[in-house]
Amino acid sequence: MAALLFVVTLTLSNGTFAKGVYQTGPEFIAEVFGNDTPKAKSLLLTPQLKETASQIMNRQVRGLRMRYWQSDSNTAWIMEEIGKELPITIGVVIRENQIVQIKILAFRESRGWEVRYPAFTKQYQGVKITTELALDKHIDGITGATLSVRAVNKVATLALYFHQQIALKAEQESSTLAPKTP
Amino acid sequence: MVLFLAGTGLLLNHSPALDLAKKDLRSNWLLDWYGLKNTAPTGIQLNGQWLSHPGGQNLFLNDKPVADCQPPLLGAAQLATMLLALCQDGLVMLTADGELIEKLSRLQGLPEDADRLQVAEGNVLLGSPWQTYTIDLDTLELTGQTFQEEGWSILGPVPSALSIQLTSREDLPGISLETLILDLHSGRFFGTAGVLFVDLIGILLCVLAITGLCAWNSRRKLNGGR
Repeated sequence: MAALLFVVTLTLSNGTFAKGVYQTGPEFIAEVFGNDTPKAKSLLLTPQLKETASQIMNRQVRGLRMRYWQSDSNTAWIMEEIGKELPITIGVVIRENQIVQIKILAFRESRGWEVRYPAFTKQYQGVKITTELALDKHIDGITGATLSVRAVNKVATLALYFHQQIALKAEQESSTLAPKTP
Repeated sequence: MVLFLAGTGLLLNHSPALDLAKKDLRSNWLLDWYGLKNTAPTGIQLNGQWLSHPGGQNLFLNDKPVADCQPPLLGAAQLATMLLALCQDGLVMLTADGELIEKLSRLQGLPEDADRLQVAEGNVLLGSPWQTYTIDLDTLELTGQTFQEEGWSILGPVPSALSIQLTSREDLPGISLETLILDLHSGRFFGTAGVLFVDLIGILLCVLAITGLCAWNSRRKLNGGR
């Protein structure tokens, strides 16, 4: 019996049942926005945006656009970043340049899945991006999940940066459209 | 045999430091042995260019890797200014000259069961054996459609010159050195017979250790406990 318990504990602890898809993108978006789920939009990745994004991700960011969902000042992003060898799918919700929620939607590797726990992800609530393109708050790591934590940090930073660009663009557009006072 | 098991065990123990998992072996007999013989790349000709997948992690436009794409390539089609490829893990959108626009993963809302693709009257259709959907690539909205049986893109073999170029690339799947050593260590490389043989060696070593201890103990008793 003790041997059986040992084997079960060992199996569970190596993450066999911990990896997988926890929530799909549409489910995440529906959870964030409720009944008023907005249509997906795209942020055009200009060469300058791509360069900064590549700097944040510490790798070349490919693609000409990035998908996001927006309602009022809330934006939601679904991004993938490789932890060690396989991509982690991460959902990020931002309001007024601050992270409201981070959720791990899918984790495919056998180690580092602890980043999915709310105890870890709630550290990101209220976090902003600094002018040096870093998070303004220290995120406590998890032993044995260093690369996964690093991936979540990078995605959080990138989502904040993209949100900031959308907010800036909206500000510019509204100032252009605003009637000029005589 | 014991030395061989000890040697392979030591190598496996230091596999991360030696990066054995990242060293791929691609000799034909080994790929044959593992049933992974390279198959001819399949693809489709769009606007005079070949969009194809030789079996690794990349989608190719002619001989240029253009996007990550989990095999198999399920379908490909062309819009006015865009090339589309449906991979196992998502829908890849490319410009006409092969620059990646975006990749929509299945987790982002692509139908889980979609395994075919076509463009009809400017609409992008995704299909499964049971259902057909129209997808709006701007808003990602999916609309159910009348079930389509025909018109789906069909992949075929790419021209032989391109096939040779694609299959000689180094990013095709191989057998990692770690897998090979692990399979040799466990005997799995030689099938069930190999595993049973290694089991036998293991049991034999245990028997030798136990009988050795017994022999040592009985000799100790004969010598008056010295």
